[in-house]
Amino acid sequence: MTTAEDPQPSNTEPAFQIELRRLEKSYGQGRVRRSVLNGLDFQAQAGQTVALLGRSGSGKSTLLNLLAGIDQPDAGEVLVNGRHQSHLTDSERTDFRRRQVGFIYQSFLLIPTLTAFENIALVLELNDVRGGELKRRTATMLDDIGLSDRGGSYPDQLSGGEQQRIAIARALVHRPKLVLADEPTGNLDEDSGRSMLALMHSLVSQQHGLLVMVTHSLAVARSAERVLTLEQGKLFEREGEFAW
Amino acid sequence: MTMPMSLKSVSLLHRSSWGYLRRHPWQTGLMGLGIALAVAMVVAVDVANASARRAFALTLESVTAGASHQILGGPSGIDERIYTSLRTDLGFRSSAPVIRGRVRVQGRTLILLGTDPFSEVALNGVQPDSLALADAKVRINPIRVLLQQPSVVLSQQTAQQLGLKSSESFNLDIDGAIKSVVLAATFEADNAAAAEGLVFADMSTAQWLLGRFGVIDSIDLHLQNDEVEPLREWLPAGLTLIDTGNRQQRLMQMSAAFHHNLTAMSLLALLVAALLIVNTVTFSVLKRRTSLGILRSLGVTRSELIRLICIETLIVAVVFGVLGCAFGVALGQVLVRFVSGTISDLYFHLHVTAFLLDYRSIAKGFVLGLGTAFISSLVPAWEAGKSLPVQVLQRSVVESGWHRRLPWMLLFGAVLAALGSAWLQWPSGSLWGGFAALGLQVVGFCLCIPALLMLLVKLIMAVFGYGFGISTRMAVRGIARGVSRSGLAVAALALALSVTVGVGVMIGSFRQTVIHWLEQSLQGDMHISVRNRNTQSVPADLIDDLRHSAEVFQLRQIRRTLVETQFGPLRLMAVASPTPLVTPELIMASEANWQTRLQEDEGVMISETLAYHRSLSSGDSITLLTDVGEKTFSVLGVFYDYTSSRGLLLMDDQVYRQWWRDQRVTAISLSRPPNVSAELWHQRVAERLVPYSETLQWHSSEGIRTLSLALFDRTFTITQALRLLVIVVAMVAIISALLALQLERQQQYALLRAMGMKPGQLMAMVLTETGLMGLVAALLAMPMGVVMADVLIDVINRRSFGWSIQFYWAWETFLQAFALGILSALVAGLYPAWRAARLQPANGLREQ
Repeated sequence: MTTAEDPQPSNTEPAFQIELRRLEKSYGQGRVRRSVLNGLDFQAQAGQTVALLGRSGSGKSTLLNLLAGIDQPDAGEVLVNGRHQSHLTDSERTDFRRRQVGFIYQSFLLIPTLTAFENIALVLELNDVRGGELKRRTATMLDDIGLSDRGGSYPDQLSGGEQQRIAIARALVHRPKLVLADEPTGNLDEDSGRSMLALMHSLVSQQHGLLVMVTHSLAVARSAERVLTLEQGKLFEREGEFAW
Repeated sequence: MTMPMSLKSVSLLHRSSWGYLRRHPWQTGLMGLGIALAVAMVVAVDVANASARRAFALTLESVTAGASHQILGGPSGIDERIYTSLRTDLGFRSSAPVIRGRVRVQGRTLILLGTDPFSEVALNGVQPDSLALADAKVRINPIRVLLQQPSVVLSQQTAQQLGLKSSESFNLDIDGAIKSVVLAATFEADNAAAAEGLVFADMSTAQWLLGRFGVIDSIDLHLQNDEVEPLREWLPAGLTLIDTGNRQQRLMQMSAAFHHNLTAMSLLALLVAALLIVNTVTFSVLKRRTSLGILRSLGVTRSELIRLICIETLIVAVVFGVLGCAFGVALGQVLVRFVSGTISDLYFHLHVTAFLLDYRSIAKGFVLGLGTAFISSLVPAWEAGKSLPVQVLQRSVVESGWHRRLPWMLLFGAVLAALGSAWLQWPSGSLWGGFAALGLQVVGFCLCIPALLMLLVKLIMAVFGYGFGISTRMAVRGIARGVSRSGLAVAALALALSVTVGVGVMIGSFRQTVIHWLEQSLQGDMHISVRNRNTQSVPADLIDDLRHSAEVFQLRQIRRTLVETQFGPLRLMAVASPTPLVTPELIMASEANWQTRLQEDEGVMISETLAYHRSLSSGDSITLLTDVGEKTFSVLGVFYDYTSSRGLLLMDDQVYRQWWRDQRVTAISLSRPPNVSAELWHQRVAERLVPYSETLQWHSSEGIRTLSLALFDRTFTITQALRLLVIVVAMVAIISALLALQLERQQQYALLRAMGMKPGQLMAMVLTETGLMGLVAALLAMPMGVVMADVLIDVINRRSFGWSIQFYWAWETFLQAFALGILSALVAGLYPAWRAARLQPANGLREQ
């Protein structure tokens, strides 16, 4: 398992890969139970960008939560580098999220009581990065997203675009292997969305991570290498349709 | 849209409100718990007060047997021949002699009441087989009682409590002497409480039991208005005729200040609960800001919205108020024992221990709880109502509104506190004026707390911020950001802690003052006293023997008794001593040469409490009923005394013997010669006293000190109990506020868990926040506690009891309050922290 201290992936280390097998998930109780994932299979590895399309309520966000290990499937398996996630304790799953996952939310979800700098640095602190190293890496990240002059601002003092940049920086600052984005440009205008997407792709590719994005936007979907649609609880790969 | 809502839509509005209450049982429950606890506190204290007051009244009534007037004698009592002449020479048939004394049965203190059954019949105009005593109808045959000497009569309830049956013999412990009596009969009392704790006997039996032959304590009379003056003129010197109604009223007033103090403590709990209610209602408004905003957008008017929130709070208040009343009555039954105990210790022995429920107390507590809930809900309701529809939808509007108002709250709070301080300086203020001024200070202090909390948080961040980790900073800033709730929680806790500090410092200061006073006033190394001041005397041969013994360096002779004065009965101490009667340290003010003038000018020294309550000072005079009639004595000085808030008179023994035909000595104190081992000396003197152990008891100075302090601590048990209850209410307030804060941050916590924060880290963060709130509350409570202690010592205590108390910095009280503040906040934070740690990130984030 890599840690946030690892600056770059080692050549000898096997490439990060994730696999979902016959995944099932439903909500509700008794008769009113509604199945959202129904025997879903999926496989992806580091270096890929994947876009997930689907109707509202089709289970896209649920799928992201299962990939991140913040939710548990009713049946089926989530394998990370061949290891069954269901065999992990809650503490091990938390460690997995802390070190290997970065999450970007549609409504940013920044911590209102922390400055932009602190919002980014919090993830490093959770990964035991302290002192000068923490400051240096956070400052570099702020510089990368073009907000080095806004580090001391609180979320409510930032524009929507700035907040989303901070959210992206927070998701990537610890160099995770898996970056999950739930409608990352959903709250932004077209121009801001485009520039945010470019930034995200550039940073993820620098870190050789796996990016999985949930989106309704064709523009976002087109930016991905693989496009999948979630219908009736199953994933379907769309080859060629979105290629350019 | 300003069109009024239709009836149907208004009822739907209320249905939506009901739905909220039902779907948020935690918030509803916490608000209800605050109301229930506050109502319970008020009801409990009021019920206990009312019950003790009623017991006081019944005790007084039962010992005066419903007479309109009483003839009272001096310390030696009344010669029973005077009663005979009253009936035979003057023809006052509606009269009855009474003798009373304390006896112990199975460890319980009861009042032995000796009467003449035939006279009582005449006095109360009832048939010979139904003798009325106060409220109790005694159905016994007086002849039978007379024939079965020594026999007594008890109420059925008292007999049951003691496990006694008619014709059964049992022992009475009368000042150490055991005497056997027969229970001649039991009777069913109309009012069981009135006859509780009384042992009835006929006059001669009572005189025999108490060892007071030929003497009675008083004569009860039913007089017409025109009979009063002739009888007063006829009375021999040394006797006085009093109106029992006036006397009872005066005696009842003695304990009024004590009851007021307890009521004030319960009102403080109500204030803490009010903060809790404001907090819960504010939270419920915040939680529903979306639905309230939608309602406003749909055309619900401001007043309809305000009404909706107020009615909703009132419904909760009614339901939980009823529960609070029930709990209050149960709690009152416990408290009444403490209240009665304190009254018995401080003022008057209460033989009625039954719990006498006064329904007005319940109504009072219920209405106060409802009123507090209604007023508390007005602030958040008005806040929701006055906002524009779009603003109600925004959470930040509420917080920014609070931040904007903080300086004004601080200013207003400071003005209120200053007004309270100014009011306290008013020289002729009443006790309730003192409480009102203290109330202003307390409310002012609470208003200042949110602003002070912000300042302290900023200060902490400025000084320590760089040393903190990011999660700690998040915890600290969370307090400032949610000041609308954290401010109220800290205010509730700080108020409760300041009560703890204030009352604790007051009790500690009082205790230290009493310890200091005991050191100054306990002259001598051994104190010997009779077991019964009314009947017994220290034998003259023993006094002579000790006075001339080489083992005794100095002997002080004391007669303690009760004398009638223009202010009612007062305690008098006549002392014969080779040293000054009062040490210079205990003199507050005195005339020149007071020591010699005590004898030459026949003056008295009076205690501080008497001087305060009766506005007496050196140079004034006081009229006492002596055995040769009324005599005016000049007041030569005022001294510190903490034995009773009723007051004490000090007189030279020779002067006392001159005016009262009383040769009894009730106590002596002995000093050991220099260079004699204390232990050996005590042993040798005690050996000489052994033959007198039936009538005498003796203690070392250390023993007296220990006994006095034990009595002191017992007196304050009720205050300590109320102090704890206020803390419990504050704990509920802070748990409620913290839970509200944590519930609101569920999404944030879910996010942190999703980012990889472990449950332990999340718990630590929540507990850091709550612990810090406790720390700030404790810090703010210290100055307020000192102010409160100062007011309690210099104003409330002074106006209530008239005692001077030296302020003593009881550091342990401050440390206890400090630890209690942090601990309470941490305990209150445990559940929210546990809840946060157990949160499933996926559920918390789903809102997104």
